[in-house]
Amino acid sequence: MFTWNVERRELAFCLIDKNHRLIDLGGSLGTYGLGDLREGQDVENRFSFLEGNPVGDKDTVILPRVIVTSGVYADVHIISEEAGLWIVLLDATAEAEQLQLMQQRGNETNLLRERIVQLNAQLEAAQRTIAQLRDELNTR
Amino acid sequence: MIKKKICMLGIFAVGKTSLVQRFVKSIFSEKYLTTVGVKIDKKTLNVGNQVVDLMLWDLHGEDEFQKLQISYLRGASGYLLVADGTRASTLDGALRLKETVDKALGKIPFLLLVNKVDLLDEWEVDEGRLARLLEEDWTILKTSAKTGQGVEEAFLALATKTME
Repeated sequence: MFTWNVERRELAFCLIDKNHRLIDLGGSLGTYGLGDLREGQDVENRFSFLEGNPVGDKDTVILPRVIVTSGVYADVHIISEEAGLWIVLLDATAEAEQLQLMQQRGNETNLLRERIVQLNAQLEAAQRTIAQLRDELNTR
Repeated sequence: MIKKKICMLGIFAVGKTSLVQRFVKSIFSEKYLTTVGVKIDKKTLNVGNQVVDLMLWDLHGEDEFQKLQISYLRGASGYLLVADGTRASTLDGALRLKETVDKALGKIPFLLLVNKVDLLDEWEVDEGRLARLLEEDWTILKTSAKTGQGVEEAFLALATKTME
């Protein structure tokens, strides 16, 4: 079950040291636009989610649904250990696309509802103004 | 190279992605496409005599499907709270998100952007509410991702605050 899940989710990993040099790497790196990485490479500018995102000693950070390359979402796990910083990527594209469809529909419906409420409020204000003017005319 | 992580926060459809696209790529699209998860863009700019890389975390808007992921906020140097000037409820949403950030990160530099100022005839956000926030020392800018009004100023102002 674990192997099936890992294969299905295109697991990829990197281990980097404190100087952002790659110590170890493997898995489906190509899925995430990282197929060109090599051991010993400086990867400081390759993982945008690491920049300005400190990970403390023996700490784990999970960043769900990060767009890591065009059209590809990954659940990013950053695990700090003595050996260095593990970055584990699990494909989340299918889930993100499904969520996007639902969210898009839901938000568009909510925006329409809000717009209807706004227009009704304007209509009521206009009707009150008309009623007021009518009353003024009638009293003359 | 100085790097600063900046988060874009606000409820759905206020223009967070449009503001980032305007600032980073000078483009705008009328089409609304909801953001899922987070997209990270980088923009280099000069703050005084320093060159700064702004890492812009364009987070999904809060809605019934996704609540704000606190892990996205880690390490942020500052954030832009975005409201839609044509939808008064989005200001309430922005204030709620600020409380969430304050609890998660403490007080860090931020600006409130009231977006879509190109749609002034549809404006709903109460100027009195904004005036009260200004009295509480908030920095508030009116922006338009569509025309570009106030966008560069907003990001530069926040970048400057993060360097203080």
